[in-house]
Amino acid sequence: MSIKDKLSFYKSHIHTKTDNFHDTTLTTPQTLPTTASSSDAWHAAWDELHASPFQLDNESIMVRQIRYPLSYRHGRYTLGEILAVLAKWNESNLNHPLLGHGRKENDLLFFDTETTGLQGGTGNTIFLLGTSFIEDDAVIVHQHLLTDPFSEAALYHSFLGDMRDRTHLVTYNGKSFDWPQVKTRHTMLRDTVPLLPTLEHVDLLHAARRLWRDDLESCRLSLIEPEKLSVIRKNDVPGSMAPLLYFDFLHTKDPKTITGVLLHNQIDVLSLITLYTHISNLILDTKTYASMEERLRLAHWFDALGQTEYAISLYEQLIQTSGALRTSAQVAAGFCYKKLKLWHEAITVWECALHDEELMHADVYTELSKVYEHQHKDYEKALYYAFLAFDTFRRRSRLLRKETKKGNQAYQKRIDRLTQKVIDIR
Amino acid sequence: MHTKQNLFSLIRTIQTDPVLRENIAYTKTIAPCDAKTCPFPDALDSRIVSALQKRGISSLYSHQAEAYHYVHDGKNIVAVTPTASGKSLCYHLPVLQTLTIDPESRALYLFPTKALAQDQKSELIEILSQTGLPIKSDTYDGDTPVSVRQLIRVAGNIVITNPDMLHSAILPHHTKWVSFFEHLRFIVIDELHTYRGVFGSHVANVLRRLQRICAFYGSHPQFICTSATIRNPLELAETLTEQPMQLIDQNGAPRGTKHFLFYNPPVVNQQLNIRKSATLEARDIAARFLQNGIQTILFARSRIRVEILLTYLQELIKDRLGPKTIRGYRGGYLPSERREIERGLRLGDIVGVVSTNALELGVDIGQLQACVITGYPGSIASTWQQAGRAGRRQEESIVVMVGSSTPMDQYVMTHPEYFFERNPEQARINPDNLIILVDHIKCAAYELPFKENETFGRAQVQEILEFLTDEQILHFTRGKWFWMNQSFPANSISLRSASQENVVIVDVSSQGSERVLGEMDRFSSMTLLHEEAIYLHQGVQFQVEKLDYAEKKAYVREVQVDYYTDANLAVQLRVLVEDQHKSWGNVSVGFGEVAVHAMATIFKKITFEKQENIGSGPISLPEEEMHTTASWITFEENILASLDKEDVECGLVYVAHVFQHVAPLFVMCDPSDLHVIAQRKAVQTENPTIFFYDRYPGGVGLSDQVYKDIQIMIEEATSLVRSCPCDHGCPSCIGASGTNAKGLAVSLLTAAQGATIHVH
Repeated sequence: MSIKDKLSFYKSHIHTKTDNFHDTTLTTPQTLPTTASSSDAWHAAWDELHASPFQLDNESIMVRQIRYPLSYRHGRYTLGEILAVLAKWNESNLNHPLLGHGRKENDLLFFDTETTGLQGGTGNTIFLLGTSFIEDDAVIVHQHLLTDPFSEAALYHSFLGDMRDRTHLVTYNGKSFDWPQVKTRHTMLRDTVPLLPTLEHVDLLHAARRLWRDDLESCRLSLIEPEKLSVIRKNDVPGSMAPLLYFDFLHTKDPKTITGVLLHNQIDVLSLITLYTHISNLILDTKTYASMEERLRLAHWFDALGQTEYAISLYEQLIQTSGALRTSAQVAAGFCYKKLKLWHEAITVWECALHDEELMHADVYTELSKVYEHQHKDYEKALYYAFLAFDTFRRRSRLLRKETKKGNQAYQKRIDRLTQKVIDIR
Repeated sequence: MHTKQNLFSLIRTIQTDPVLRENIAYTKTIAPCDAKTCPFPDALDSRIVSALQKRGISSLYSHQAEAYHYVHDGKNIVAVTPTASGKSLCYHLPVLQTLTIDPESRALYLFPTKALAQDQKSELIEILSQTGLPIKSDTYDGDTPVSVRQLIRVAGNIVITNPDMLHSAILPHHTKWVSFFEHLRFIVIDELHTYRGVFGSHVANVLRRLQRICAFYGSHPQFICTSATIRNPLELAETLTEQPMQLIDQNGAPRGTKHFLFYNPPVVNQQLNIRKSATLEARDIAARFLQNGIQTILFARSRIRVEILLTYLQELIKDRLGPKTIRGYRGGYLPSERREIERGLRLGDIVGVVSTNALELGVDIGQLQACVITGYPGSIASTWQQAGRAGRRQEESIVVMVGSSTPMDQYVMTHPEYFFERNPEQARINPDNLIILVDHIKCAAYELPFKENETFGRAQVQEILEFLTDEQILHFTRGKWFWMNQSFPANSISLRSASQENVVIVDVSSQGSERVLGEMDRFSSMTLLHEEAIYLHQGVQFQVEKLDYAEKKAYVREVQVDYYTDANLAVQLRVLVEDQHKSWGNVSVGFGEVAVHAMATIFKKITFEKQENIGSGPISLPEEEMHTTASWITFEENILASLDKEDVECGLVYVAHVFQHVAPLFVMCDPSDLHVIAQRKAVQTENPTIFFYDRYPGGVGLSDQVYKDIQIMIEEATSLVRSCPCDHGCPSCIGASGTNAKGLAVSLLTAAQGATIHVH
């Protein structure tokens, strides 16, 4: 029996179904013969998309180039506002992973991909590499589209052109997805494509999580855009449809099939600029741009980065207000002072917090107890707070219905020790 | 028996005891054999030599030295090594030596299971620390913490894993292993003989993918395989790896005298030819050894038997030796527990181990003095593996195999020459089973695009690639096929089953802790997992509460009943293509592709004790169709003309029953992998026909082997029926009893050999 016959015999046992993520299955139009007229029509369509071929040996891909004036508004900012932001970075003496000193506007390459699968792995092809960057008083969007999987080397050659002379990649979730996937595919083309340059990588997802994790249902870019950037997409093709549309495009070769995906990615790379501008403004000009919640989040962020003094200054701003976040800022500021061994300031800010509100924070009482015991040698006060700490802890455990012996022991030990010290002194 | 007997005098006692002697069907004494040793090779690194010396090894066995030299000369090898002959040095030595010269090089060790990989890792780490060499080695499997994975990928010299992990986690991410693949020098395949049937066919394709990726990164690793004794180690290794191999089968390890006894329990019901329980007899024999302080291993067929025997034996010698001196050993034990048992055996604290066939594989528990096997383990190879557990170097040992009432066991009991003189079974694989092949071509295309005229190992793949293109899984452009699909193919392909349409068996015995017991292909599930079926898993009985055929789930609950269920499967078999044909007399034998249509009809409840039918019920499941390979014996109607139609029908059923038990002996497979059915009027020829078909879609080479060996099998089946002591047929031969039933079966079998038929 021929293999063809066997394949049809065994078809029911062979797994050809794939895990589609959408119920909407696209019907694949039959491959149309490339008649002169359709090829002409496509030519016109590519022109309309500002796309032209990029050729390398016998490989060919399409590259779109769209030029935006700096005055073009994308969401809450014009694209040109990034220049102001970069200037502010250079004026500021803040040290922050998002950027820092000495960056020129054309150091940055904003970058996002579209792939044929959602899971990482060697078979997941990147079919669209979109970038945006600033050049000669304009923002350029470049999109490198793999019109034929055979031409992957050309795709990366073309993309490498964008990377030349840049120092920083700016992405959204690019650290764990896009960039590793670029590396995977690049490895598979190892002999035909020059080495990938090593650029600094700023992943804005990490910043977005820092700022809005508690605020948004998820930190997907499609959610950040309307909520934080005032970017509203119209007739957008959801990213998850991109693979299916691309498979269709490979059959039809009709630029219309893939246009939606190109436009989607185009907005992505523009939004990266707006997002970068916005997050920079939040950091650099907190008073003008940041909400109270964002200020607290920023303060935590600087705290975590070890820039304690700057974190304190942000906390103090919040403490001056009478908002709901005041107490949280006081508690956190106390820990910052403790880190700097500014015991007096720590006690002041903590006791202030206690004064305002009945705190359920056993840790703060314990901290106070420790400062009084070890720094001020005031054992009675220390004992007082140790009792309060234990009391708060027990109330909390009761509320949460989980009492642990081990937890209790630590408090009891402190109380016993302090009691002894108080007695000794008397 | 007031004083303890030593092994030597105990063997004499057993052989002369009037009661026992009656039941000893056969005794064979295997002569001792001295060690054949060679000095360490001159070039062997001094650090390795001193590590070996620290371990008390002052020279190599001849097979270890041979392995070293062949590998050194660049050859791929397969070494056949019985239990406890130092097989791991066959690969450690050449691999470590290469690493001393080229510290960049890498080796991949493959073990069939995670547990074996863990065992080997601890041994290897011990050796490595004794050499003091800066060689990094670790296991890479589902248990490896994410934090160390990257380190292993980048810097592991020896990566120890299993085929499943290679298939689903390493190969699809090969770009993370660039330096590993670039420097891969050796692929070690331990327990080669376990890679047979469906699993082996999958693994052969995983190795094709592995070699394809190595070629991409410019490496051409050598293979080092070790195998238990099977008939065709060289063929299996060459089929699995598709590389020329050098066979090493002269074992240099020493061996003491071994007494091999076949013990057939006495008949308790003459008419029905029912024998005393093999389990009870094996227990008593093992007890005799243990009471005399002789270190013994007792093999049982299932987990539950292990527990029963363990309880009994512990009770028996509790006063004399203490209950901890006898230990159980089943799958699922932790390495630390194994180490403890191993140590206990070495020190003599433990005298007995009761085990399932988990100890057949290369887990090192040391060597014992006596081995008792309950029932024929199903193949010559695994019998020798089990028997190999007894026999210390240069010391006398004894193996007792106790037969059960099944036709297979009774055949072996009465034909010891089958066991001792025949070569062990062949391990069959069929890497080109279409379903399996298509699965792996998908994975391979995901890993690297296929080029025009590229082959996949020895398989031609052009048509399959075109098929996958039509299915819109691949995209063909300018002479290359590209993966163009959203899925991750390796995730939906399990190496342990042929068809992806498996039914998952869920144990719902305890609410809140439901667990998956296993999987079964749809075809078998019709007769084994229908509602109310009693499903046996590792000897534990479960009743099927619900079979959700659409969702492919069977819900079972543990029960204890004294019956089993037997479902009736109405099978229609149609020959699609006859690929091979041979004939003699009025009998013809064919081999080819068939379509099997099966529908489960009713099931019966049958008691264990008396084989009585105590109830039945209908099964309502849709008809299933399966395409597979089969071979068949066709009788021309006229040679059976002297029989009436009903007799022909019955006779065929009897003969099919005999074959169902004999055929697996010859093709080294589980009886459930190869089905035998009889048809009085086969669809094509209208003649009486007996079919043997592979129970996996596409076939895995079993019926192929049946076709080749058909004449011997007919002879052996005839001899089994003839030599059965029953009068009119019994469960141990033709599966039924009745006036002239046995005669009918013999007549048909004689006819199958080409003789004319005589009605008795």
